[in-house]
Amino acid sequence: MIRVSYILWLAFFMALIIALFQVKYTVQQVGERRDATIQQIDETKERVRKLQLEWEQLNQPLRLTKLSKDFLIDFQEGVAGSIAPVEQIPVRPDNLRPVAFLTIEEPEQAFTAEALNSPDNLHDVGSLRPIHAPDLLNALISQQNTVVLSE
Amino acid sequence: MTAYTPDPSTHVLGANLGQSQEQIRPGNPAKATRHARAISSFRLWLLGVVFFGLFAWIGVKIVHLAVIAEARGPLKVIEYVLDGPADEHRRSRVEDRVGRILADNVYRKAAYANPSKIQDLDSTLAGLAEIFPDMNISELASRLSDRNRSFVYVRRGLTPQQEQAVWNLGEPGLNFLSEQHRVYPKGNLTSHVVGYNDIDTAGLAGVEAYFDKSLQQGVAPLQLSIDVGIQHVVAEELAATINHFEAPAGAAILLDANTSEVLSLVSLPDFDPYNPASQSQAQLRNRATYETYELGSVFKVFTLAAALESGAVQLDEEIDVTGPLQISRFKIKDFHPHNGKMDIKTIMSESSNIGAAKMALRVGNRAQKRFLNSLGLLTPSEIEVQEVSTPRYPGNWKKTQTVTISYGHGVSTSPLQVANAFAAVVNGGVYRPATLVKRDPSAPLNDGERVISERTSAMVRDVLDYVVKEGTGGNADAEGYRVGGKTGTADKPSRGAYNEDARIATFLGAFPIDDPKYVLLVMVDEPIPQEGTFGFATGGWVAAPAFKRIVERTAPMLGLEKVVPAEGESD
Repeated sequence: MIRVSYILWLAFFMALIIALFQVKYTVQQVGERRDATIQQIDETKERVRKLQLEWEQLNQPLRLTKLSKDFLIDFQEGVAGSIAPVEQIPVRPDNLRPVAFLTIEEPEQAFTAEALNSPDNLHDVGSLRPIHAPDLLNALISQQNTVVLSE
Repeated sequence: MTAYTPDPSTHVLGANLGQSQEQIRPGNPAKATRHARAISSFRLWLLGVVFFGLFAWIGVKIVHLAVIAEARGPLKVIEYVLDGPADEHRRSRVEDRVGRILADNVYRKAAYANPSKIQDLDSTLAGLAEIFPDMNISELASRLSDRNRSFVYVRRGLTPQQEQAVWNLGEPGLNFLSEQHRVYPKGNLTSHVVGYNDIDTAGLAGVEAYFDKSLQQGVAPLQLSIDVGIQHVVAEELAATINHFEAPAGAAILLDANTSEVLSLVSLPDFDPYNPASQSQAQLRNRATYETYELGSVFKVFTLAAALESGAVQLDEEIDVTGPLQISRFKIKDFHPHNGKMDIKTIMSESSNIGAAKMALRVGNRAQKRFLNSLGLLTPSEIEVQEVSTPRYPGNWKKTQTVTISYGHGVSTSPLQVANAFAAVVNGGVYRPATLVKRDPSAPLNDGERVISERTSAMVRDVLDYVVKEGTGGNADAEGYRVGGKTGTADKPSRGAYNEDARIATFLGAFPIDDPKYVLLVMVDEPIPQEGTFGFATGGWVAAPAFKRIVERTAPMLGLEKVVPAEGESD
């Protein structure tokens, strides 16, 4: 009876020791991962901070003023009358209301998923066609209601 | 020889357990054995219990950490890293009122040398000379030759390319350390507000110096009341005016009329915050908060307010402004002389010194001083920058001083204080000290100190409206907005007298004048008359047009709607 209890105790203590070691090393590993993560977070935060500062530097009012003068044709500052209550803004007449600002040609045939993924078909698929920014800009300037994107 | 016989009385077990001689008599061996077994069994159980208790405690602790504490949330250190500042030693960021960064710290590498460990001094110096062409190599050589030194800065604030190049030299005596570096993304634009730091990021000027301690603690960002967009417009217009009138300096301040938050504070010339040591004194001088000026006729607004509030003058009465007015040995004259009586509105719109003097004389010197003091014009401003000075005023405040102060000569204050006092006069009569710190818009506005009644404030606004519509402030009449204000042209004191060739031209106004939201002061130091101004360099010709342009450009940014003129009223 005594021997059985000894064996049980021994087994219990062995299991406890093994568990303790496992816990210890797991904790160490978790600690190392935590340290690495903290370092990564700090580095990322530092990079974000530098990027924010670069962004602020790029957005200096003087620089933006120069850029807007050089590249935004007819772009003007707000003047008296630019700010008004919503109810004072007149409703756009129906004949001036844009039907669709942007239309994209429908593909001539249905494509399978496999075909959609094929690089050869990309240029034929309307939804995947790259939008050509100058077309949009021209449409804005000429106040066209519909933009048809060219190939 | 005597055989050894153990003395039962000295048996360790028995002695320790305090057993009696009789219990362990050698004559009863079976009983002794049973007794010994019982004792060892007891000890084993005792050890077992102790060990079990210890392991159980460890087990409970593990379960607690793994399950219960985990369920409560992340460990404190993780929480700190994710939500708190990455580095508690990093100086706090300074932001404008919408969160644009005005100053922040980043880590940059500094290269240093340990002269005792340098292997090849000549090739190291040659390499450094190539990487840093502007470096004084002979001076560095003398420092690196001193083998007793263990630390010599080679260059601080390295770019990543420079750091890599130094690293590539492969010199074991060269090393790097990370240092904080203060960055001012808006540069000169906010230099007089934000200030600057020394190379160890200790604040030396502006809010950087004023809030140095709290910024060093690296707590939440310091959010200022300044709006960079507004600041740019104000600075641009002030610079244009200064250039046009060939003036050496100027200042402009835009205040929230009710909260006294400073939305823009410009002092020109400004300076490069990265390199303050190389800037001139003229650039470093803050003309909005530190320099004090006698701003001339804009003080008549305070004279009028004091006279109306005390009942010394009624708005509808007329005062004889026939000049000159003899006070002691001084003769007071008007820029636009008039013989006979003049009503209060015309006294202000024509900026009559004699009219203002007579109003002040009715108020009396004591009441005048008390009133100006209540407006914060006789004590240093509480604005949160390092550069604040004490106003200067006569120690002996008598009749003559009362008269000169009534039209802005004799009390020398900073432009910010004058704008702050003006805000109190036009906002309904409550004085709140100007601040550069953004207030919480959801928090109730502090009571401030009532300096005049709402009725008096309304009367003053009415008069200021008239000054712009019909008087010297006509050039400040902004398109689409109702403004009111007062011009000021003051000869600068020089060697105990006033120099008629060196003037301060000011316009101080509020918009919209019927319910003031903002107060704007434009001041130009020593403008030179130009062709387009018919030889004048007065506040009305110099500062008022700048005021008008600033209002027209900033009012839409501030969300102010265009005023539609009432019927029969000209736009």
